[in-house]
Amino acid sequence: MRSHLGNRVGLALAGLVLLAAGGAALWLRDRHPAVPIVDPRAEMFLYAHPWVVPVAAVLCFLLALAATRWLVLAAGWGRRGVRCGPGVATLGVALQGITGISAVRVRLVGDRRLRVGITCDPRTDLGELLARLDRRTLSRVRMAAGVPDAEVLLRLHVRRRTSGSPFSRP
Amino acid sequence: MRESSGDWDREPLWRAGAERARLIGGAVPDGPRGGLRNAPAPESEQEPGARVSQRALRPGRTPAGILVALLVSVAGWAVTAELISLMLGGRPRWGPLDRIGAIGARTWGDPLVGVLACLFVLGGVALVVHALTPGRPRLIPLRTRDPLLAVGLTRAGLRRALTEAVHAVDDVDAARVVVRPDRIEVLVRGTAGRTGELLPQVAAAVGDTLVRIGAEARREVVLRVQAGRG
Repeated sequence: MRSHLGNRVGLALAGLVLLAAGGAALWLRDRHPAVPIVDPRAEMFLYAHPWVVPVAAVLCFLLALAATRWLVLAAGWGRRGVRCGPGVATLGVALQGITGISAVRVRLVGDRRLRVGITCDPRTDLGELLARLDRRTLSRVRMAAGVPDAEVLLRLHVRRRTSGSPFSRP
Repeated sequence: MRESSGDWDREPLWRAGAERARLIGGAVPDGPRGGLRNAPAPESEQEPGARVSQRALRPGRTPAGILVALLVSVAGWAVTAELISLMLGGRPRWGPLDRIGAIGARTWGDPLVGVLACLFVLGGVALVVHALTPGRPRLIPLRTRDPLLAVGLTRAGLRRALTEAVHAVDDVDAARVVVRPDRIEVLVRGTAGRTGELLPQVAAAVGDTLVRIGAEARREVVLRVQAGRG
């Protein structure tokens, strides 16, 4: 299982483009120091080859679309997922009897990943809680969510204060 | 609090089972501070296929991704608008370039161009390094046996679990746990005159908790015991 790689790919590509642009500018500065950056002949070139501007506009449009999609995805669109009630119920039954569990969350992200969150009190025996989350329990949760081969990402948190627990027994 | 000296502070104080009982019953290093580097994980050695879910919890570089995606998209839409206005009969204005210090009219040998080129190179190197380095997970990865399962514990959660475990030791009046990237520091205040007995008990409680939840990998534990008043 790997973490989200999209940002790393985008950052590496942007970094390589910046590196290439900076290197090219340094090379031009070394070889042609007297040439202006925006050559007046460029305007004449554009008038002589009218197809250049539409092609460049389409390319820039595609680049802007891709960057906007990256921005939306990086901001978390589609990674929050939807709440999975059957998964919560199955996990709640599996964790029944453990003292101090205060919240259980199961969310289905995409069609291959389950994000599980469990919040408990400091008095909770974390070793017992983790031992309960064996393959059989997780298989039941996956089946309840309808994704038998889903990757499960479990976030465990211990809250500060003790409180009444929906899954503990006196 | 007394300061320790010598090599014993790197000596492992925590052992499992009979080895731990022998250590507690036998000669215990006399001092207030103990270290536990590369703590042995006997349970993990007995579990075939046990692993730490490190890769799934690596940071996704979200803040840098949002920033760079925002800059690239704004620049892309601005250039697209400029090109469309050019197609509709406008003249090439190079507006954005002219606003940035009239750089379009400068030559390649201009000092400003050199400075900007160096900044581009440095920024590119920083972005590539940021993308390729694995980074430190926000959650503490725990040991699992299921290849499709990754478990992460929050730092505050580990701190509270360890504090609770230390408080369960007799004669511990107060405890403070600090979780750092490479080590866990446990400061304990106990009954005066019993720090020598308290140290291995606290070490055992911390070590047992770390092994039970599977968080002992690649983490050093530093214990400091402070004698209370009276």
